[in-house]
Amino acid sequence: MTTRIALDGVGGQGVRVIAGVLGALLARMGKEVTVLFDYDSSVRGSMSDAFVIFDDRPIANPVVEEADIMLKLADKGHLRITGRKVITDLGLGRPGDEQIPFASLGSEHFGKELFGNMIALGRLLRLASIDFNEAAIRASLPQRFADENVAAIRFGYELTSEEIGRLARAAPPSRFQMNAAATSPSR
Amino acid sequence: MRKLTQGNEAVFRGAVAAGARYYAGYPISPSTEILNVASGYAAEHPEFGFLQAEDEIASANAIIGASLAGAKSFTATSGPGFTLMQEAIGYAQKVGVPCVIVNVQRVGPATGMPTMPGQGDVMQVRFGSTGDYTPLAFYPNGVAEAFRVTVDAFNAAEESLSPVVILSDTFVAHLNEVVDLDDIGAGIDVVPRSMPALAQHAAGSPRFFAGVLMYEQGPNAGEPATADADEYLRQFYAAKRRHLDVASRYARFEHGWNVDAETLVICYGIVSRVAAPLAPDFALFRPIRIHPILADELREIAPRYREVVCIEANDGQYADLAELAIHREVKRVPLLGGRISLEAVRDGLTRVLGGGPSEPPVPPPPTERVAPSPLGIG
Repeated sequence: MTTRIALDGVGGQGVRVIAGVLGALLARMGKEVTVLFDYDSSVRGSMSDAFVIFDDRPIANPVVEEADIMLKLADKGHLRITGRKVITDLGLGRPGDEQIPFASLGSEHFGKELFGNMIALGRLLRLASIDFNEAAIRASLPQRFADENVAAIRFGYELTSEEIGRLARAAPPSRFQMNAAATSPSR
Repeated sequence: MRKLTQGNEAVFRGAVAAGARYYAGYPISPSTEILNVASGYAAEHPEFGFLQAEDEIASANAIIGASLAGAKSFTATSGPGFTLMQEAIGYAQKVGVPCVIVNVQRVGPATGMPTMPGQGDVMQVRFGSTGDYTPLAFYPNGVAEAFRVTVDAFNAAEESLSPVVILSDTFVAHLNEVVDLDDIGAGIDVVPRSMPALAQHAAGSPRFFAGVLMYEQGPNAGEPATADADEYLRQFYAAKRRHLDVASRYARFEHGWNVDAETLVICYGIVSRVAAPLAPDFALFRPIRIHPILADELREIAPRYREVVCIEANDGQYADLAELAIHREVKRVPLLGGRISLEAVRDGLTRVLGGGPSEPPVPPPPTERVAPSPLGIG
């Protein structure tokens, strides 16, 4: 079965890291994987998207136009695609989207909002029915902050629907604040 | 080991597998990873020469110098840099310098859309420099093929004594796939480095390096032939025949999908991947050796189909060449502005097969402010 994942964010949020780690992990699990990056020409603050597809069979088209799962870390309106399941940072979502305060969870539990991207990766693993294999995850991560990243991924993986609902109600809007471009209105 | 590997990295690995010993380049999206990987490799392999030059003109001339001195050499750039290299490419064609030039295409002209995928340099490869020449070029559509095609390009460069181009695009370059390049590399044949021109010269077989037409042998050897059409014909056709002969050994293409369908779709590079869901309803002709055009193969295959449509991320460049080759209409689906999507492919096919124009509907100007892209420096 083919699973298509789209990640939408801006430079600096870690879209490439999430996609790269996810791709390496799936490759290590013996899956066929394509990871395709699509970005604008400045390093921070402009669009940074990634498409991750995995399957047991070779993948022909690596471009995602209808995602099974879409993760939105910014709402700049780059990706004109639909997702059957959409997860967003809290405050970015539309009715029906799953909203999780990734950035504030990263800050609260791991000391830095940037760990929110690994929490998001953990949630992606859960939604994509990818087993939490700590050794394989660790081997797919950069060596720096590996312990913290594994813990953040586990945190995201173990989030329950009830907890996500509670967090969404309790937490203030959470967005990655590292660059204004992620939060400034797009129009 | 099977490993998630990027298209650009596979090009570099293919070059090393083919015996490359020298890289010169100037960074430009979306080719920069090749330079990055080359610099890291050079730091760990002192026998591998690396130069980050001041621009693409210097890069192209540096690899020519390295080749004349004996190294298999290559550079990588994108459309704007490839434009700057045209003088050097013409020189390498004239003097007979084996080397490899990678052009990872983005949307032009000029700086254009620096990170968006395009295929607008098909004609630039064919006709970009001055004068007549017969360039060889390859265009892969995935990571494993990028590796194989790079080996082919180096081999063909040695055999043809010419600069061979690898065309790629943003999406092929930045696509990561799970491949085992060690395994693929174990099965390749590598053509040894031909005798370097400078060594030939030293051994008493004169070579001339000014780019001017010279008598290279016979009673006038070493004298200019700048007004002798006979000598021009001898040298021009010797090179052309040599290049075509080598090209015939690398007639790489794919004829697939539903070969019994009524319509033959010609596409290449990333477009052939994005269009792959059309497989049940269309036949595919995918040129991998993109120059010289696969005229014999197209002439044999195209008559089986009622319609021939070329889908490409430019305004009909390969379609023009294909139409000339097969002497019949080739309908065009241009995917412009970096919008390479299955939706755009389907819309275009529906339009042109229904008798409509190749030009897509052009949207009206926005009435509200659109979020600006930061001006990239590419």
